[in-house]
Amino acid sequence: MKPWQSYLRPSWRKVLSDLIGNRTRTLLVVASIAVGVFAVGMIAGSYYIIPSDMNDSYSSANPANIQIQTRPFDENLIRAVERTRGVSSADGERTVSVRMKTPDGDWVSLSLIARTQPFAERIDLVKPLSGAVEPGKNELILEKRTAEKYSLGPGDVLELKLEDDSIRRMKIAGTAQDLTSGIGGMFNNTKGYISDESIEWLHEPYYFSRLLVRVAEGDNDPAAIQAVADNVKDTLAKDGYEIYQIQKNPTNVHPMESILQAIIQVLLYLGVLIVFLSGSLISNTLTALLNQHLPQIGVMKLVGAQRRQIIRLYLALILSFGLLSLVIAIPLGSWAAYALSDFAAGLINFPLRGFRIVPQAILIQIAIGLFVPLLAGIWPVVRGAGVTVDSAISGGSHMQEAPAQKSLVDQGLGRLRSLSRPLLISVRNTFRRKGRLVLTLLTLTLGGAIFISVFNVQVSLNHKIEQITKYFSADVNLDFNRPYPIHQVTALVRGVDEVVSVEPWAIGQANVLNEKDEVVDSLTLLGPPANSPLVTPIITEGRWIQADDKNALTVNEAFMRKVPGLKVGDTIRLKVGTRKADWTVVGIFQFTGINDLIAYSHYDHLARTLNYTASAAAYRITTLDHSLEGQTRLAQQIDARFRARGYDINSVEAGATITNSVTEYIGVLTAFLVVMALLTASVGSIGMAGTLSMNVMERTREIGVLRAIGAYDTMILRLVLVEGLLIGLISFVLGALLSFPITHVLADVISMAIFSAPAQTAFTLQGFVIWLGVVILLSVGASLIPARNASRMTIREVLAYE
Amino acid sequence: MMFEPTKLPLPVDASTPVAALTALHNPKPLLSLRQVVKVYPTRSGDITALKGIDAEFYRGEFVGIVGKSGAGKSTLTHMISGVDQVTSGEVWFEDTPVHTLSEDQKALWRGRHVGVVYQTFQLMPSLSLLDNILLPMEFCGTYQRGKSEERALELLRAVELEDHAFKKPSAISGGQQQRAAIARALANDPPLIVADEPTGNLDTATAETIFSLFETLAERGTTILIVSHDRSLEDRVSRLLTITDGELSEMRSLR
Ligand SMILES: Nc1ncnc2c1ncn2[C@@H]1O[C@H](COP(=O)(O)OP(=O)(O)O)[C@@H](O)[C@H]1O
Ligand SMILES: [Mg+2]
Repeated sequence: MKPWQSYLRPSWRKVLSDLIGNRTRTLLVVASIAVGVFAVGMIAGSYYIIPSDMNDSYSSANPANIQIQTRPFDENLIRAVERTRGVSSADGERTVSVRMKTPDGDWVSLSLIARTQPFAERIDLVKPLSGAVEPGKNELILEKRTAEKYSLGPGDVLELKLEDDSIRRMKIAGTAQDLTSGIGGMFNNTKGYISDESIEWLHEPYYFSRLLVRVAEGDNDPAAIQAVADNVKDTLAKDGYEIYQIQKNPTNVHPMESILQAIIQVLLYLGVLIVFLSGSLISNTLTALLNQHLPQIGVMKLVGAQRRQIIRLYLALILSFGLLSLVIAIPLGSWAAYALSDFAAGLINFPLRGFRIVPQAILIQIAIGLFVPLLAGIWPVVRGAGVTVDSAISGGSHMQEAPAQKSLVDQGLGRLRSLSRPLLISVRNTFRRKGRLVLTLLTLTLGGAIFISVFNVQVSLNHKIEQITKYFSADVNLDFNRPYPIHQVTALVRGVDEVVSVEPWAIGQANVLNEKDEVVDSLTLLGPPANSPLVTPIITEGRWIQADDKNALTVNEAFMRKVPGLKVGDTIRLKVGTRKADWTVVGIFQFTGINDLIAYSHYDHLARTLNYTASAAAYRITTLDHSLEGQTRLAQQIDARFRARGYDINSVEAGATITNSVTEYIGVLTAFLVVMALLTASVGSIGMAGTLSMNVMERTREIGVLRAIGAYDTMILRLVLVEGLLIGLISFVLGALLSFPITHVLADVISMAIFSAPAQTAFTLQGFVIWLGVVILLSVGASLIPARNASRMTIREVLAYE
Repeated sequence: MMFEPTKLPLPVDASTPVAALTALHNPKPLLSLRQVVKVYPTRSGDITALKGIDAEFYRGEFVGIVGKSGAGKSTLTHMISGVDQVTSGEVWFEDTPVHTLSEDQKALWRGRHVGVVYQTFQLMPSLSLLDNILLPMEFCGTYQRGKSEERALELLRAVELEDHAFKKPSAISGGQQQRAAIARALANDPPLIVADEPTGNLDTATAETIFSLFETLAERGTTILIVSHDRSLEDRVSRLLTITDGELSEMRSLR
């Protein structure tokens, strides 16, 4: 006796031979289960890893619970805030903007962040990565992303150009990772840390502009934080500090958590969908398997098998399928979960605790990998086990079949007489097993719909970004630290080749006042020339600013949240510079993704209010070349030109930089979605391959007869191919239709997470075309193997086949 | 091909007495049918395949039942082996009322007491011959690791298939498959073997060996019941019945 055989009971050997005897089928079932389990493992794994690592790293970084933007202050205010009730510690932060020379010789802006607290115990800890933990005087610690982007590290010396154009050399003492920046940190990530002793060495006055506060108690409780924030506001008010902006954050929740949760949520839905689809595939295959095994079941009953023994046998087979798929899908899923988490960690900038197995995720995988097939198989198994020996063995030759009710499809086919015979056979075959066809179509349709939707969602989100760029369509933004006469600046800018136009903009900060003339909020006032072509507003109510407007504002939607019930015609009291006045809201525009208050007036009026006379501190320039490279090149030329003449430049920026990083971020998001789309598509293709090979398997005899009456190989090949294509094309049409509602839902969920506003759904042909190609390839590919097998069978084999 | 039925591994107590003597000394029948009726309801009206069969079969009898196609032979074997339910009447196997058993009870009873042989062999295609023989033992709870394998190999040796023990049914000839099926029918050493046209798919020479196999079994006390439309059966059996239109009549008997 073969040694391995002696360990198994004969019934187990049957299970084993069913497993390895029909490898194609085993592969099919195992793959159907594995995709679902894999998807769930990947999503569940990252669901556990990402938020936990993200929040852990955040809360371990001693994050600020309250951040306040105010006018320049010094240590006295910090001490005063520290003494405020409920405050555990406070610090001031100063960002010094300089330009650094990259190893490639380019000048890029660099934010140097200075604080008073020692690095080891400060608010908003940074995680030391290499070199020194604390920068010495005139040294800096470079943030991880900047260090990685430019391959810089401890010991390197940076050449910095200061605001006054003098050059300083600063040694990189070490590198560290910022653990606390929220979404803002994602876009502005060229930065480093310096000691407050270095501020003056960088030719800047010593002061701070941002106040960071940690609360003594209830640092995870928004209400407690709010109470302390009120105390701090009082302290600031007493010393005459106005609050420009205030942000509150509990210690245990990373500011990015909600966005990530939303994304993972979407993935989770898709995962459930995939499991559902793979479940329907499994039930498809198992039903076919049991049908095929009916004679065997009859034989087993003949020799004494009872129903429960047969049920046990087949459930064992199904569980073996499940176990096999777990062996594949658990390691792959764990790996993918980590890869996905790593991706997110890089994006949001938090350290992962390292690769790990998530027991919860594996438990879910095991449950799904075993339960879904059992659930899908229990009905066919119980029914199959109930077959009588007589009917199973006689092969139903005496069975009384119900008179074939002619379905609509059959009737329709009856009219297709004009089709060629073989084609007619294909069409009829496609519709022969209706339950199976429906399940296959369901999987392929949903897979396709999601696939197409992902492309549409990407376009919808880009659409959103485009809307943002409608307010920032200048190619170069030139900002000075003080106003300069318009004719001078314009003349100089126009001296640069490729410049098309220059606009002066009045830009100023203002405070919102309440009835008692107390400052309640701050806003940014923007004054482009009336009718500026560089702003294409999306007006939701009222109208845009006009040239003859005085003290009129068009405000962004953020006002609606801050001032509930605000409507066109209302007035808002503002303090602009030193002037207090009532301004009328004439319109509301949409600018998603921004919670700060922004209002537009027009240049003439705002300049007058700000006491500019035929001058401006901000200029918006359009050029011939709209690419980021072209814009950057011109920005550098303009920069050089003005600096050479001693202008006090704040920044010269290429317009596309603003939107580029958002676009990148959305690209990343859709990458997540594409992965899911591919998963659903693969479930669909497995389903298709399964259906076709089952159809062919069941018709082996018929194919033999066709061959016997003279059908040649290519004809049989074509028969099966046409059947596959038919299924593929039907699913494409249905999937394309279904993609419309799915796009809407998906785009809205994601857009709400990123922009806190519903998406404006857009559609692109791209997804449809690609999916059509994929479906055709899939159909051909999935039919090829069964078709080849069928055409290869000799007549004798076919007729002996049982 | 020389066939030596003496090699059959059968219980010692049944090995010596001649079948006829057994029947005479043990007047209690092994199997009795009382007014067995089988009606198949079809859309074109009921078909009464068995019209009140009365019969008794004794230990060691080698019974042949002949009849034309459609006479009700297969139906009769189904009623005896409990593969299908009688419409009315009783089937007694010693003290067991087979007609009252549930499907599962019938399966277990059949597995232990009746070996069924079909014209189409009905072996499990995915299992080796050895496993095909072991399967009934496992289903009926008589499987013992090692011992059962030995017995299965002995059975295979007795039907001269020992060398093919690990082959799949598809790898051997029809006659060999039928011998394997008989070996399987003997797996649990049942007192009754029911064979429905066992030689129907075989050539005459092969059919001969199958018949001599049954003869030997009968000599050792196993009751053999063969139905066939083939009249060549007549000379070999100890008792012959005919079935015509669902009615059974005795043709020849030793008693
Ligand atoms: N499952 C069934 N349903 C309907 N009629 C049946 C069924 N089985 C057998 N019959 C009918 O019963 C009669 C006897 O059949 P059967 O026992 O198979 O005859 P035999 O084996 O002698 O050829 C025939 O008329 C046959 O058509
Ligand atoms: Mg028959």
